[in-house]
Amino acid sequence: MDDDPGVTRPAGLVIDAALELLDRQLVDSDDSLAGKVDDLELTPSEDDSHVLYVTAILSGPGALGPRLPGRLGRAWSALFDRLHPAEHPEPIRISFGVVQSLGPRIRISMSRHHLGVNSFEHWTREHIIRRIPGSGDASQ
Amino acid sequence: MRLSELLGRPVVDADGTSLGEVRDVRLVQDGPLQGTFGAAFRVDGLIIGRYEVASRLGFDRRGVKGPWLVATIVGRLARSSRFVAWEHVDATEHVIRLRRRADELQPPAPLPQLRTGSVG
Amino acid sequence: MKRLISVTLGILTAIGGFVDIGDLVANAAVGARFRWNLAWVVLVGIGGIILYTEMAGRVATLTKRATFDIVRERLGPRMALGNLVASMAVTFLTLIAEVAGVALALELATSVNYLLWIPMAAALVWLVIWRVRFERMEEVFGLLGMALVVFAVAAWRLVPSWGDVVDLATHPHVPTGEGAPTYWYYAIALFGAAMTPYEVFFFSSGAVEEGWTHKDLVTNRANVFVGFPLGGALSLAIMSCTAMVLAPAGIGVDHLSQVALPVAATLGRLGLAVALLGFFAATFGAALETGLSLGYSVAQYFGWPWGKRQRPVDAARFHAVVLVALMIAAAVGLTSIDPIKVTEYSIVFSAVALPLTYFPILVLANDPEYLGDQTNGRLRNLLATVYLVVIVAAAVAAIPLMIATKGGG
Repeated sequence: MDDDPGVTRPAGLVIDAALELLDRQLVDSDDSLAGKVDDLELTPSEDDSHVLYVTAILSGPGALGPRLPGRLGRAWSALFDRLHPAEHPEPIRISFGVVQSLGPRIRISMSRHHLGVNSFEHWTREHIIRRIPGSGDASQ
Repeated sequence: MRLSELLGRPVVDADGTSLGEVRDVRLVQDGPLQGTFGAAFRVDGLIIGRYEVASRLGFDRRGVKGPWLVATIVGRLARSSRFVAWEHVDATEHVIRLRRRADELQPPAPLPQLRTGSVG
Repeated sequence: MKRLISVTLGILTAIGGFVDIGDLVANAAVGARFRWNLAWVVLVGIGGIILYTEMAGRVATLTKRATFDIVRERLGPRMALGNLVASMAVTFLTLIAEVAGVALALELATSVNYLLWIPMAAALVWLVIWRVRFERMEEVFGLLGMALVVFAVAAWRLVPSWGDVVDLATHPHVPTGEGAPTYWYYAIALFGAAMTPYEVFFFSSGAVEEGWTHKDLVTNRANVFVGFPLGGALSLAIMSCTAMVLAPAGIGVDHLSQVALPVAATLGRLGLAVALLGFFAATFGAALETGLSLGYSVAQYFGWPWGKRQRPVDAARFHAVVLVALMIAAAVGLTSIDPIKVTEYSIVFSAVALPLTYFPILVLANDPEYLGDQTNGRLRNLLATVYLVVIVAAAVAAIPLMIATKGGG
C-alpha cells in the first residue's frame, strides 16, 4: 500500500489510549489485517510500583470478551476458552516493542501467523473452509 | 493489569463528590526503550467525564468539526470532562478516589492529532 | 471505457440496493394502492442514499477502510456491537427475502415451485461469492439488472400524460378510503426500502475491494450520482406501471407475479421475459450484496481479514460467516414462510435501524483524522443533519405505525 505513512514519534508524544490506540486495526508485516487492539497490558515499573507502562497489545476474543457487556462478554470469553487448545488460554499478546507505527492503523513488524494461536480463525479454516474445493485459490 | 480495567470506573474527588467515570487514559512516551518501537508509553493521568458519547467522539479533547447540531449538543456534554494526574489517583478500590478536589482539576488539554492532513 | 466499467459498482449497488425484492414489492404495492401519492418518498429516499453513500465512499476511498471497520474505533466496542447486531439482524432478514426472491423469479420463469428453487438459489449465490471476481460480479449483474428498464418502457406506453403524473405526484394526498396512519406507514416502508443499511456497507467495502484511492474520488461521485438516480427512476417506473394497471382494477400486490403484470399486459411475452430476467438479476445481485455485507460487517468489527480478493484460506472466518448465513437463509426460506411478508418486515426494520447506520457515517465524514481536508462542507452537513432528523423520526414511528395499521392491512 502506498499510503498510511508511519507516524514520526518524537519522544514525549502524548496520546489518549482509548481515542488513539484501543479498537484500532492492526496490520502486520505483510500488510495483512491482524485483528484489532482489543486491550492493552499495563505493567508496573520495577523502580516504582505506582508508575505504569504500556507493555503489550492484547488481541482476539480473549481480550475483547471482558470489554463486552455482561452475559455476552462472558459467553464470548467462554467460547474462546473452549476453542483454544491450551490448558489455561491467554489472549494473543503482542509486545509493544514490535509496534512500528501508530495512526489509523497500527503496524507491527511481525507476521500475523507468528502471533500465537488464533482459535476462531484456525478452527473455521481447518473444519470448514479447507474442506471446500477452491479454498486455496483467489477468485477468478 | 489491563487498560480496560481502568475504563468506566466511577471516580470521586477528595471530598467524596462524584465526578463521573474514567473515560480515557492519557499516556506519555517517556519510559524505557521497547524493542524497535522507542520509548514506552507511561500512564500520565486519567480523563474523567460524565458522558460517554462526548468522550468517545473526542469532543472534549479535539477540535472536531462537525455538523452544527451534533457539535453543539455533544460539545455541551463534553464540558464536564476533567484531567487528573496519575500521582493523585488511588485506584486500589473499584471506586477511584482522587487526592484532589473537583475545583482543583482542569479540563483535559487538547491534543494534536496523530496524522495532520496527510491522507491517502 | 475504464470509467464506464468503474461506474458499474454504483449501478450494481443501485440495482441491487434500490431495486431489490423490497423495492420491487414496495413500489409496486404503493403504486397499486396509492398511485403517485407517495412518489415523493422515492425522491427523498434517493436524496438520502446519495448523500450518505457518497460520504461513506469518500471515507472508504481516502482511508482504504470500510465503514464498519472505523465505526468500532469511533463509537467503542459496545455501541458498535449494538450497531453490528441490529444491522446484521436487518440485513439477514433481507438476505432471506432476496434468496426467496431469486427462487420466486425462477418460479415465474419455469413454473417450478419456488421452494424447490431455494436451495439452488442459495448455492448459486454462494458459488458466485466463492469463485467470481468482484469486478466481474458487478459487471455481469449490473448489466443484467438493466433489464428492469423494461418497466420504464412499459410505463412510457401506459401513461397517457406525464404532465398529469407530475401534477399528481407534486400534490400528494391521502386517497379516500385510506387512513393517514396507513399512508405514513407505507411512506416509512418505502423510505426504509430505499435506504437499507446494507447498501452503504456494501458500497464502502466494495470501494476498498476495488482498491480506490484518492484519485478515484471522482469515480466515487460518478457512481453515486449515476447509479442511485437510475435505481430511483426504475422504482418510479414500477410504481407508475402498477398505478396505471393494478390500481384501477383494485388489484393489490401479494405476489411477485403481480409486479410483472403491467409489463406482460403492455409488452406481451417478450416484455415479461425481460422483466423476469430483470427480477432474477436484481434479486440475485441483492442476495450477493447482503450475503457479502454480513461477512463484511462481522469481519470489520473484529478486525479479521476480509474480502473477495483474499484466498478463502486467508479469510476463513469471513467466508464462514457468508456460508453459514446463506445456509440459514435457505433453511428459513424452506419453511415456506411468505416471502412477501418477510420482505415487508425487512424493510420496516430497516427503517428502525437507519439511525444506527447513518449517524456514525456523518460523524466520520466530519473527522479530519480520516479525511484530511475533504471533510463535509457546511451545506452538506446541513442537508445530512436534516436527513438524520427525518431518519430518526421514521425509525421512531415505524413500529407503532406497523402495529396501529396491522401491517398496512
